Amino acid sequence: MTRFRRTTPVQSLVSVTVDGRAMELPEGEVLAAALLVGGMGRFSDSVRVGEPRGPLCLMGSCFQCVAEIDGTPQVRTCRTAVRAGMTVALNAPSSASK
Amino acid sequence: MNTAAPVVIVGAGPAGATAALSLAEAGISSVLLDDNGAAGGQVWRTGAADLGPPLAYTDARGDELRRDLKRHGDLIDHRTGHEVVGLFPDLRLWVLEGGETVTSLHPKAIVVATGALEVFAPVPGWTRPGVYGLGGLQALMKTSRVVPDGPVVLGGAGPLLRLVAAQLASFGAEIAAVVDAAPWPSSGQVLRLASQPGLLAKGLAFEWGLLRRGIPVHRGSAIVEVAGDEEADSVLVAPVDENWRPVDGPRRRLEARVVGLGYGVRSNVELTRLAGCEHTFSASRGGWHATRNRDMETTVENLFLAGDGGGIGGVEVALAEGVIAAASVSERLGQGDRLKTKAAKARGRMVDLVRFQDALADWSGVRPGILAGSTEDTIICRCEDVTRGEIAAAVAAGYTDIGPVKMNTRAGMGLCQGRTCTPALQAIMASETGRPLAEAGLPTSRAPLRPVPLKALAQLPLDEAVE
Ligand SMILES: Cc1cc2nc3c(=O)[nH]c(=O)nc-3n(C[C@H](O)[C@H](O)[C@H](O)COP(=O)(O)OP(=O)(O)OC[C@H]3O[C@@H](n4cnc5c(N)ncnc54)[C@H](O)[C@@H]3O)c2cc1C
Ligand code: FES
Repeated sequence: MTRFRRTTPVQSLVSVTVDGRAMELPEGEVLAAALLVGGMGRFSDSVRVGEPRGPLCLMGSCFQCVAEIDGTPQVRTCRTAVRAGMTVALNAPSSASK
Repeated sequence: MNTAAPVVIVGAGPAGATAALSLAEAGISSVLLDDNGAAGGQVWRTGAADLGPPLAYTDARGDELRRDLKRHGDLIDHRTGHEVVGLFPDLRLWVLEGGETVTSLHPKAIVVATGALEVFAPVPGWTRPGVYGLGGLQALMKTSRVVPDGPVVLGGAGPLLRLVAAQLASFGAEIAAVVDAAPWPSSGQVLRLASQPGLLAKGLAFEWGLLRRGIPVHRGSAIVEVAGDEEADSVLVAPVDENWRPVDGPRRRLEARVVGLGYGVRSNVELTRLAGCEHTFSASRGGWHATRNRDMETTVENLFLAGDGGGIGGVEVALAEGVIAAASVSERLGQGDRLKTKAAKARGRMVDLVRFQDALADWSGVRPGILAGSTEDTIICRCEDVTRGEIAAAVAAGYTDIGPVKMNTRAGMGLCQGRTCTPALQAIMASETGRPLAEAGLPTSRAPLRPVPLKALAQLPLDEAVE
């Protein structure tokens, strides 16, 4: 269910793959914002009890918005700009990169 | 790797950017690091694209600041997308770029201007998707002009609560209710707030923005539960007492597709903690922050601190402190006292501004009952799924200091390193041990502050990589 809308016209769209599905998202847009407008709210499952989680702070602090991007795990989608051809996997099983 | 820069400033918000601009005025070059794509910090955050008309209730100073930084590009090396993930007592910094490479800097002086973080009060269901920080909802507007679709309920306390409500409403978002833990300010508080007529007028403008649109404001109330199937679809609102503890009285359930939560802001202390600065607790400045002398220097020599990262003062204080810090750095580097007059003026402005901040905190600052809406099963640490009951059990088992409680429960040990749960953890420690909040302790931070690929750390000189 879409919970967000965009109030300005989109300048240019690029193709992105999200969970294996092709999507057209605004180039350069904050990825988390683009995904929220695209109807996605559940970005990951929590590590211990597997509850659904989504972005909270949208300023890079909370790490609740992480996804696997182009093979790199635990990337903050609220700190990532939409790029043509990027591959995003939400709810990706977390593997510590630290 | 550039190790030659004499001054590094961390954070390009009002405080850090002003410090860089003031130094440039005195002919001193600096490296200005910020993790965002553009300068402006929280208050003047902006996006990458042309966003059309400006956001309601903002001024043009953010755009001016960005223009000025560009104009002084010869002296100010503003590096966007650069996140500082390490700061050591000898003034070495680790800088993460693009999430991939870590470089090391070793300047003569550092100004930390990393601002504030939002304070969350966990309640049952607050982990559901559809619940955002007030600052998060605001960031979506600021960077992307994206707003909630469907009824929104905002809950918390402080100026950001009504500012975000008024800004969202100006985009036509459907604000079902604003739930404010604080009551109306008392006449004494209003009088003290009136010492800064300009700032009080701003606050009243937000209030009027809500009133004019008929948006209900439930004062002395809090969101005590977020319900929904998987994602949020309603909230439960209960009356609270003056310490923000839920009390008997009519509770109401409100439909909400999007929920905004935020109980004010606190200093982001992760870098000053890493550097080994002394910290202090001050209720009127948002809790814990590093101590500074009047020149904005911390207890670590040549490590200066300006803006909300050194105690909450708001944007005007941040601007003044940026000037003062720059003047101190200039003198310390032996570059003369060209900024002395400017710094003296800034000091003069601060006296009244700090008084205003005290009144603001008196009215809407965090109260001891902030965690009273949570239950045994409420998740406090979202990264590691640690509940309030588990934390209380650790305290009951004899772990009465925050460090051992973290190790024992893993609360605050996850991906975000406690940036989200620390205030809640401290509130639980205080209530379980019967100590005041000021004695609940401040957790340590560890470098690197963000997940960093091992191969990136391996690029550092050997003696640094083993930190
Ligand atoms: C979520 C939120 C929203 C706010 N919204 C408003 C508002 O709309 N109006 C208002 O008047 N006040 C707002 N405030 C209060 C705000 O703190 C002050 O108004 C003002 O922005 C403080 O200025 P500053 O320069 O001290 O810090 P900030 O403006 O916060 O700037 C600090 C900068 O440092 C960056 N930074 C932090 N850590 C690092 C790091 N490790 N490496 C690199 N960069 C880093 C941050 O991304 C940020 O750009 C908000 C605060 C928060 C937390
Ligand atoms: S939403 Fe908090 S880090 Fe991205």
